[in-house]
Amino acid sequence: MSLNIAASALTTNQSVLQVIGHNIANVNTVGYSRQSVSLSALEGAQKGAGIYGQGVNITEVSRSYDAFLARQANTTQTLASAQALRYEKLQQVESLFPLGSGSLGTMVNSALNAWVDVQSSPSDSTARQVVINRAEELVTRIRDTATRLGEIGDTAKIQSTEVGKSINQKAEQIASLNNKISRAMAGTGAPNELLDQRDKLVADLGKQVQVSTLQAEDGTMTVFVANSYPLVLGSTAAQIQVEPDPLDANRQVVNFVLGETETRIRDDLLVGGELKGLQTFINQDLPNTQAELGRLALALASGVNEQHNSGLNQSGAAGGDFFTVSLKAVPDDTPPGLTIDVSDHTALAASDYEMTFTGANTASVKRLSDGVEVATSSGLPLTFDGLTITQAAGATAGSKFLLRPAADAARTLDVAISRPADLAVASTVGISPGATNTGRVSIEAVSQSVTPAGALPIAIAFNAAGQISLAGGAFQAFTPGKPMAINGFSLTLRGTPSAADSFTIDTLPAGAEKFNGGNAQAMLALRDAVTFDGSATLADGYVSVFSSVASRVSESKFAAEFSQAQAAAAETQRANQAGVNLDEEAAKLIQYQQAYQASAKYMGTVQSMFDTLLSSFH
Amino acid sequence: MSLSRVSTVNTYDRALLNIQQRQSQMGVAQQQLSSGKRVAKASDDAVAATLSERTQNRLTRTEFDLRGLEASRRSLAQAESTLGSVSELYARVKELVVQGGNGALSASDKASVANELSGIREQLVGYANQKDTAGSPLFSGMGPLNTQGDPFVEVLSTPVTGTYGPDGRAVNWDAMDGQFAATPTSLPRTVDGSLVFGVDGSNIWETMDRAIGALESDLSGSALKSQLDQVHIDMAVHEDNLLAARGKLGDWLNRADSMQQLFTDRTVAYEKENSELTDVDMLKAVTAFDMNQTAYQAALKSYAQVQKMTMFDYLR
Repeated sequence: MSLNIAASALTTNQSVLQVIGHNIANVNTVGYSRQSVSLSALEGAQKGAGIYGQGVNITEVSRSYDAFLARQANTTQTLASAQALRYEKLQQVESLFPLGSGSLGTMVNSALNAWVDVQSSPSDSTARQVVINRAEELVTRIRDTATRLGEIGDTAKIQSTEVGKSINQKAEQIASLNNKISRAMAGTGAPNELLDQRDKLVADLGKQVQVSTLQAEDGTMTVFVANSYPLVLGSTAAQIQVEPDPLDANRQVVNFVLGETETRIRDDLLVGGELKGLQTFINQDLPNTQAELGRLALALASGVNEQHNSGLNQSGAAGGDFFTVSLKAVPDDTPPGLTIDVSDHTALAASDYEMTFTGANTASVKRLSDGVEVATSSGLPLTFDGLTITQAAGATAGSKFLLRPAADAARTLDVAISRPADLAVASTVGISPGATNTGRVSIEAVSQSVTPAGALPIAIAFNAAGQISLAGGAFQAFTPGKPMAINGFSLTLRGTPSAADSFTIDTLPAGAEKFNGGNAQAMLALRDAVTFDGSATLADGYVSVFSSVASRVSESKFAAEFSQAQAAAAETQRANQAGVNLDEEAAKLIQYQQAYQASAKYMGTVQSMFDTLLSSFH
Repeated sequence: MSLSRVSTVNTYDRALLNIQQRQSQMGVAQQQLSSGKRVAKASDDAVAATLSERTQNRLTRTEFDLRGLEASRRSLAQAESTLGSVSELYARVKELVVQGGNGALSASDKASVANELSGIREQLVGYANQKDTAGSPLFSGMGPLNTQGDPFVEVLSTPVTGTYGPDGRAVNWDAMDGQFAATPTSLPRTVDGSLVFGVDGSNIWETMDRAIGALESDLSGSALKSQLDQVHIDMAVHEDNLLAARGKLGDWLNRADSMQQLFTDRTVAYEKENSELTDVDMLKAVTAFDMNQTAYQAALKSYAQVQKMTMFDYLR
C-alpha cells in the first residue's frame, strides 16, 4: 500500500513538473494559455480502526482561459485593426495634399494670379505664355493627384481581395479544428492545445473581419460575420468574396457565399477588421476625396471657360474654352447616350450620383455623398447641383447609371490653349465717357461676364443726385468700386459723378484687342467670386478640399490611437490571466521538485522498511 | 483571474511597445526641431494646417498685388518723367512763339523758327506715343485702337476742317477715351492722353501747326500777331492740362509708395501668422525633446533592469 502511495506521489509530481515544463516551453508561444493541474487525494481504504488515504491523483489538466476576457480582447482588436488600416491608407492620401508653397492651393492661385501680369501688359506674349504654363502645371498636378488617388485605391482593392482569401483560409482551418475538437471532446479530456489554436485563429480572424462566436455542447464553435452570416458552422466553412461593385468598378462589395447562394453584406454591417477599414476607405474616403478635388477642378474649369469664352483673343476672335474636361456616365451605354454639362459652376456639389431611369425619359437621381434624392422621377433634361443631364435617345426603364462629373474632371482636366495669342485677354466691350463729362468718374473694369450677353450699346447715365441709371433703367444709388451687372456685362466705376455725366458700353472697336486687358481683369475677379457651397471663393476652393482631407485624416488618427490603446489594455488583461509567468513557474518548479524529492525520499523509506523487515528473516 | 498576476511575455511586449512609442515621440520632437515646423502635414494639426493654407493664399495674392503695383509704378514714373520732358518742350515752344512774333524778323528767320517748331512737334508725337518697358503705351486712355499701340497717329491726307498748318496735316487721337481708376489694391498704368495733349482739332499739335502755318506763310504783322496771340492762349491751356496730368501722376506715385508699404506690412503680417500657425515654438520643442529623451532613457534602463530579474537566477 505504502509503495502505491509513493508511486502515485512520484508519478503525479513528475506529471505536474511536466506541465510546468510545458508552460515554460510555451512562454513565448502566441495564443498559448497556461495550463494547470488539479490534484486530488485518492479515496481512503478502511483498515482496522481508521480510513487510510491511498495517495494522490491528477483530476484534470486545464488551461487558464476566460471567454469574456478573450472576447473583449477580440472585439477591441477588431476595431483597432479597422482604424489602423484606414489611417494607414489615409496617410497615403494625405501625402498627396502637401502644405505650404508646394500645395495644390498655391498652384491654383498661381494659375489665376498669373493673369495679373497679362492684365497689366496685354500685348506681352511672355506674360501670356506664363499664364498657359501655370495652367498646365496646375492641370498636370491635379491629374497626377487624381491618378495617385486611383492607384492608392487599386492597391487597397488588391489588399482587400487578399484579406478575403485569408479570411476564407482561416474559416477552413477553424472548421477543421472544430472537427478535431469535437472528436477529442468525445474522448477523454479537453484538447487544450487545439482549443488554444482555434482561439488564436478566431483572434486573427477578428483582425481581418469582426466575428462573433458561439460555442456548442460538443465543443465546436460557430463563427458569424456581420452578426448573422455563419462563416463557420461545425465543420463546414462558408466564404467571403470581395468583388467590384457591378455599377461602379471603383467601389467594391463584400459577398457572403454559402454553397450556391451569394448574399451581399452591407458595409454598415461590417463593424471591424481590416476588411471594414478597407471598405470604408475604398467606398467612402476615396470617392469623397476624389469628388472634392474634382469639384475644384470642375468649378475652376467651368468658371474660367465661361470668362474665357466671354473675351477676345489677340486676333479679335472669341476666346473659346481655356480648359477641357470630359464627363461621362458609367456604364456608357447607348441609348440613352447621356451628356453631362455644367450649367452653374457655383452650385456644384462634391459628390457622385446614381441615376435610375423610371421610364424612357424620366429618371431619379441620388446624390451619393449624403444619399439625398436630387431628382425624383423627373423628365429629362435634368438639372441639379449645377449640372444638366441630357439624353440622346430613350432609355430602358430601370437601367442605372453612375455619374462622377467631379472625379472625371480631375482625371481629364487639360489646357485647350497652346498659343499665347489665343489667350482671350481683351474684353468684347469697351466703354467711352460722354464728351461733356465734368465729373471725376474713372473706370475700374468693364467686361462681358456671360456668353451670350445682351444687346449693345448700353447707356449709363448719372443724375444730379449722384444716382446711376443702367441701360435706361431707373436711377439708383451708385457705390464707387462696386461691380454692377448689366445684361450679361459687368461694370465697375469709381469717383464722384456730376449731373448729366454719361458713359456708353459698346462693342470693342476693331484694333483695340491687342492692348485691352478687360477680360484678364474679369478673370482676376473670378478669384473672389463665391464658388463653393455659397461661401468659399474660387481662390480659397482648395482650402475646403484640404480641410476635409485634413479633418478626415486627423479624425482617423485619433480613432486609430484610441482604439489601439483600448485593444492593448484588453489584450493585457487577457494575457495577464492566460499568459505564462516565469517567476510563477519557477516557484511551482521548486514546490513540485521538493514534493518529488520528498516522494522519492518516502519511497526510499518504504524500501528500507521492507529491507528491515526482510532482513529480520535471517 | 487575479489583479496582481502578470504575463511575462505581455510584460515584455508592453515594455517594448512603450519604448517604441517613446522613440517615435522623440523622433517627432527631433523632426520638429530640425525642420522648424510644428505642422508639416495635415494630420499634425488639421485646424492650423487649414488656416495656414488660407493665409498662404492671401500671401500669394499680396505678392502678386505688389508685383502689379510695381509694374504700374514703373509705368507711371516713366509717364511722369516723359511729361517732364514735354513740359520743357512746351517752354521752348512758348519762347519760339515769342521770338517768331518779333516784327523785326526776316522771312528766313521766321522760317527757321517754324523749322524748330516742326522738330518739336515731331518730338512731341514721339513722347505722346511713349511706351513702357513692357511695350504698352503710356498715354492711351482705355487702350489704343491700332495694333502699333500708338494713341496718337499722324494724318496727312485727310485734312479736318479748321486744320491749320502745312499740307492739312494733323495728329489724331486713336485710342479709347476714359481713365482707368486707382483702386485700393492697384493703380492704373496708362493716362488718358486726350486729356493731356487735347482732343482732335484743338490738341497741342494743332496749336503748333497754327504757329508754324502763321510763321511760314508771309502774314502781315497784325495778322501774325493775332494768330500767335491765340497760340499763346492755347499753350496756356495745354500747360494747365499738362500740370493737371503731372499732379495726378505725382499723386498716384505717392499713393504707390504708401500702398507698397501697406502690402509689405501685410506680407509680413501674413508670414507671421503663417509662422505662428505652423512653425515650432523652439522653447517648447527643446523642452519636449529633453523630456522625451529623459523618459526614453528611463524606459530603456528600467526595461533592462526589470528584465534581468527572474527567479530562475536564484535557483541553484
